[in-house]
Amino acid sequence: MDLFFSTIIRSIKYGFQNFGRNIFLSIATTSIMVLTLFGLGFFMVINQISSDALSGIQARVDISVYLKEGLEESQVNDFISYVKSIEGVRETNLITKEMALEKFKETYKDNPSIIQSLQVLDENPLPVTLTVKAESSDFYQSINDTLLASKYKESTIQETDYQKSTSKEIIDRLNNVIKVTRNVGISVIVVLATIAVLITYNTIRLTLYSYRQEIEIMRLVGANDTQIKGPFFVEGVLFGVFGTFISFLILFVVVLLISQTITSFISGAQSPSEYVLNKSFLIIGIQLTVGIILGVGSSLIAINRYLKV
Amino acid sequence: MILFKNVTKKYGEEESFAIENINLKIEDGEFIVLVGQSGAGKSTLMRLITGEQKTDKGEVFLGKTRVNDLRYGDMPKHRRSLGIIFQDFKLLPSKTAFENIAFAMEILGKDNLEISRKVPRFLNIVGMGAKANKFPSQMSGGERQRIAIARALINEPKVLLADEPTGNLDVFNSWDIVNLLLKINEQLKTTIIFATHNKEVVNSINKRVISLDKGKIIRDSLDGKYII
Repeated sequence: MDLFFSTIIRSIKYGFQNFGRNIFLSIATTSIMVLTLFGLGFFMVINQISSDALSGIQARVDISVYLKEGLEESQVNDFISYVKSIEGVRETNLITKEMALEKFKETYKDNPSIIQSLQVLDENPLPVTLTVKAESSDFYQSINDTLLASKYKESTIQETDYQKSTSKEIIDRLNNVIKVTRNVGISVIVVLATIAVLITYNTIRLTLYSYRQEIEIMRLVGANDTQIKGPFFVEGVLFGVFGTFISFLILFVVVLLISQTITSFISGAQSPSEYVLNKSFLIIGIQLTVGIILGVGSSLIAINRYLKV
Repeated sequence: MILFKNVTKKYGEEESFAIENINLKIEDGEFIVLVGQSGAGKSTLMRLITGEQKTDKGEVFLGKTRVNDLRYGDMPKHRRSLGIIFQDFKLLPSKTAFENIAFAMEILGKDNLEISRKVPRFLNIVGMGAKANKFPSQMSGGERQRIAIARALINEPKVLLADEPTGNLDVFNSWDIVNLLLKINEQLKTTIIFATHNKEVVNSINKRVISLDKGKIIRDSLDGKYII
């Protein structure tokens, strides 16, 4: 049999044997791996929910720039070109006086006293409005500041309603919540990952100790590096693989339980269980990659430190 | 052929030499007895052959291979051309006699058919055919050493290094092992380097004796006498 293939088969066989030889230690190591990978998966779900919520609100937010009376069309066009050139502006929409009046009437169609008071006036009192949407909520403040600091403030802009709006506050608050959640999530994952590395490292070290006689004999009869280290490498992979599948299962159950509550609280957010199902390959892929990197990484550190072949 | 050319070896900052300016030639198929007190340099001499230790000065050759030149990655191949046995047998307690010998073949990628054909043959060579399924704990010291010898020989090395293989055995078992080594040398033509303290054994087998003292060869004689 080819030495390469026999080495792989042997490494897998003995990797499983190593896993079973210290079964309680292996269970403990897999558990911490499960916790870490569950944290990672849950973080992905939370991130998606908060992103959905933010996008929902962002879609409804804009800056309304009310323009002064009596502007020439060329002045308005010039202003629109300027607004479009500001960093972070995604789109602009011009609402003429007539369109604004129609919208006003539509809004207050059930309140005849307001409509009648409008008819008393000789002319349409509503200003021409330019609504501005940004690429992300982070840009609204800077766009508003740029507009108010521009030469158009005196000549063209009557006022902007961004400062008055509560949207800014909501977006800022949501952005803060997302940032804090993200930072806390990443910190928890880093701490769990560090613990996972330390525990896996220790487990492999103990396995190496219990196999010291076999290793010595293998070395004596001329086994190469790969043959000796292979099973311990496989053992590290197994911690990552088992950890991934168990953690995904737990993640799915947890998400299923909280899904209804989340969707009723956050309008516009995708159902978390639906997200987990739709993105199961991606989530498993990321968990598996991280799990294997953690398992193999700690295994390699232990091997290189304690196994002088 | 094994060749030592002006070999000197010192461990760390120690003042005395483990091996000092040794010149030695061992022909293929020879049976060499290494004698000397503890610390005389017997084990160092063997480790220089296995490549576990490097010379400070001089060169060691195994056939055409200059052991000094071997890189880390070349060591496994080099070690496959050597069989090594020790005073403490180094058998795996969880494996039977058969499995202990087969282990040396398995890790070199030999298939089950070859293993099942070859292991019984070597069990018979060392006179342990009937004890293939016994665990080390169910065997005497002499029997364990026989299994260790079979394991060392199973991959058919050119050279067998025996580092005090009778050190843990009683007189009867020691003779048993020495006779087995002589038989292997004669029948398989394996070069054997046998390190021992046992004066009676050395004086009786009438082989080339190399006496070491404080890292130097003080006597290299074919008269088969243990003299230090």
